[in-house]
Amino acid sequence: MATEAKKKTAPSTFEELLEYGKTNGYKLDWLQQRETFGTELDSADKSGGLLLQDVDSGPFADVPEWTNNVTGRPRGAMTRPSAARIGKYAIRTKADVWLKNGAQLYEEAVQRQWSSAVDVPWETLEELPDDIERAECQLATFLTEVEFVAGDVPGRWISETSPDYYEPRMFLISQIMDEARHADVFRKRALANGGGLLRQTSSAALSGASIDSARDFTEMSARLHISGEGLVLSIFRMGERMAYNDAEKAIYRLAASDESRHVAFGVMHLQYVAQTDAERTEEIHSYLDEIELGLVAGTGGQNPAVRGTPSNAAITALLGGGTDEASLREGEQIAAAVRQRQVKEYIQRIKVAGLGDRFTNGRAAAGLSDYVAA
Amino acid sequence: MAAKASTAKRIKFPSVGWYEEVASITVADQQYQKYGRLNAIVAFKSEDSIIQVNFDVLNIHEIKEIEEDEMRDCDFIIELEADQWKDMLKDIKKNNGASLDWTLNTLDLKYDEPIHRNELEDGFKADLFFRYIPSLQVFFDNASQITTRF
Repeated sequence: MATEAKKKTAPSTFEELLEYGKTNGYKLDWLQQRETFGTELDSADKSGGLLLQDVDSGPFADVPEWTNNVTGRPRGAMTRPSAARIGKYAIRTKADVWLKNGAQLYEEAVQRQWSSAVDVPWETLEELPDDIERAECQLATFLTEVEFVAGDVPGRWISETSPDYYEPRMFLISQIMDEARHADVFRKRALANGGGLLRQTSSAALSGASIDSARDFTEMSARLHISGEGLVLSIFRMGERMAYNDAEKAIYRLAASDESRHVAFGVMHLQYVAQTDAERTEEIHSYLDEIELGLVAGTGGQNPAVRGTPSNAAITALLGGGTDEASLREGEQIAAAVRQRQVKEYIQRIKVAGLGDRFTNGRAAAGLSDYVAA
Repeated sequence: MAAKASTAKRIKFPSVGWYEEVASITVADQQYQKYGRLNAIVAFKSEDSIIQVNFDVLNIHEIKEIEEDEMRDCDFIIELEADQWKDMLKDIKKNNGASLDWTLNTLDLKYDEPIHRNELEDGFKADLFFRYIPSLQVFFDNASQITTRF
């Protein structure tokens, strides 16, 4: 009997529920039906699980071109008039931060995390000749420093971005996790085989001066994701040739996989800006002008083939297999070949971003075409 | 052990059957699963033979022969000459996994042109190669567990 009575009074529709609340003294004015209520996801049983790009629909998928959301309100949620302005977000325009496939890249980042503690076969490290171990340690020092910068820079922009653009925001958070792991794995490599961290890089470029002084998100992304990360990706890809055991191979292979996600983020963002905000084209070309000057000079570690930096000397020794003249010469040859591929990949990425005309209209740095023609 | 080797099924490369056999080993490979999800349709080209493989999250399926003009629907293509595929797979068999000179990454850096590309020059899709290299290398290293004939 008690159950039957309960059934009779239980509200069966949303309107009845509101009426029930009103009659029985419950404050239900916050309870509102959204457009997506009752919608079933046809992708929920996919083998890849439930992805952000699958769930966002209706008002939740509607990414505003401009937003006044400074209260931390999740995109699509209803406003609360009394909400405090908790964020002084500088990025409130979609084109300033957006990219196609942002959610996809974030989901991939989450899925492809790894651990420097257990996913690197550290037990395969073995005693190396002194000059090779020192070179490994110098390179690991350089890469620890690089990754520290790469983690630091996106952090600043996360808190500047309105939650309406949560996809790039969350990707940057995942990038920081990646960079932290890279900084830790190279620190471990420097210390794990009886060596240690060696000399800090003196270059202002490497210390983040040009990346961290970026005044705008797109400028930062071009400098960090396309230039910096693209070039570090080349070093990681060379890593297999600089590896003397399976532990080092695993480090470079896994780090390269992460790094290529960061590069993809930058390329897709630059492409979005180029496609949607033509007025910024000249401005972006000016960033690329500066980036290419560094790319050609390469004294900030961008060019593994240039002489005169401790990290490049280490790379040459590792690639050649020693510090005698013949080994160094061989190492330089390999580094030069990788350098050529590095430049080609940079050019290809800029073309994909829709800014490739600079390579045909004479604007690109002359030194780049020399590498491509070589 | 010798008897087992002599009776082992020899699978022709390249063929749909060869890729299916390696795929069945790879989906059960803990290392492959550890490296995480993929989302890429890849064509493997060896002269006239083009085999398409769908790396779908942690599954590997929809393995089929395709025509040249269907490569445009693939995220990226990995192309080697027949002798290069052969040498790579022999090295994998011999060393129980690719040695330094025969990893996908080394091969991509070694020649004048990369071994991977997107047919429509879509760089985002072509760059999937870099993002998925650890998983793809596990896939090909698992070829050491079968007997390949050429």
